[in-house]
Amino acid sequence: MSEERRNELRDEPVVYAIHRQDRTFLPAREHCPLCPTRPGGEETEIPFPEFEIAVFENRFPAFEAPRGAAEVVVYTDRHDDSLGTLEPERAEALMWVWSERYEELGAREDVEYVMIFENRGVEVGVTLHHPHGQIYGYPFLPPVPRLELAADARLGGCAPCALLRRELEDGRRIVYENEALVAYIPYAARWPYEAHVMLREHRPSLLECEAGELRLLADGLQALARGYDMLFDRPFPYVMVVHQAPTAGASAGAGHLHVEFYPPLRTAEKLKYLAGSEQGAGTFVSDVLPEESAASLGEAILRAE
Amino acid sequence: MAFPDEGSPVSARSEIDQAEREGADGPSGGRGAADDARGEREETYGPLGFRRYVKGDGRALILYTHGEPTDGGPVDEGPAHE
Repeated sequence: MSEERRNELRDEPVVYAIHRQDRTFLPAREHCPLCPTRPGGEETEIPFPEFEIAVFENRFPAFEAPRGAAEVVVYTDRHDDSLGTLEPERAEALMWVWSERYEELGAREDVEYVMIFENRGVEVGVTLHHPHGQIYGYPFLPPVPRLELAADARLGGCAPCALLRRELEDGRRIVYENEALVAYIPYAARWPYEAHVMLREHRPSLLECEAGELRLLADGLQALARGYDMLFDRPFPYVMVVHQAPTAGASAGAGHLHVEFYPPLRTAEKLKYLAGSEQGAGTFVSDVLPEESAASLGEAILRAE
Repeated sequence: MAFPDEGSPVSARSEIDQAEREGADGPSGGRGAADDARGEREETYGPLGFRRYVKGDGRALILYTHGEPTDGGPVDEGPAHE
């Protein structure tokens, strides 16, 4: 069981999950625990010879009942796939799986905030290469969604709706659009190639989306993922986070569904590190203007089509 | 924005599933757990079908299918299953 403490100087929680120190670390592909279990082979986390999408409780959870949840979402049984290379039907199904897990975990009394995310690449600490994401059911409202809700109050309405309007009016940082969403590098991006995928309609969560919006959300995420890989002609590391409304507490149901990507690369070989200013002052110092990175990422998305 | 002929997933779970859920003790237990452990009952959510299992160490496993369901038989009946 993890231990929760509070950093009073920063007014933020810190979770100690010391059992995670022993989790599987970059195993050889023949020992991948997220591959299907082949007849006669060693048993993996998924004891079936094939599967489409699998979800299971994390063996090394940061949160677990009765104080939250931690799950693993395996996108496919094919070890070398990625979000960008999934068949479109599979990517669309993944949106429904996310929705189903958000609904079920969010209904639990010990979960206040459901966060769906993917860490991709060793640069962001991935320990298993098989395409997968994770879901944390936080037993409290974490600082980032709390700040987003505070932005709603500060801007006098839905902040993501207001920011989307500004991005559409400006237009220079938009990298992809379809009927349901707009993807852009935000005006004040913290990472050189940070991208936000914003639903055009105000939907607090996946649960309020129409079926067509889920399909177009999958299309948009895949287009962005393929564009990232095209940008430097290499698998592009990122952290991808689905931002949705809290499921309990005073802010339940308040929010605007969007997906944020935080890629650590600033060039093909150079990483953006969180150093003195970022960690000590909470102020990102970037080497690239969002308008410039948006132009190159937008071109890469077009080339990847 | 409208998406003609496409419904919202707000009530995406099937009515049968909802009825079963009303009698459930919780999301991962008490829902006819013996059947669920072997994945004998397929539930639905929007276009998805899914089956719940319990691994040998007690952790939950859910397998989802989209469209035509695949044969869900575990390898050698799966020692990880109860």
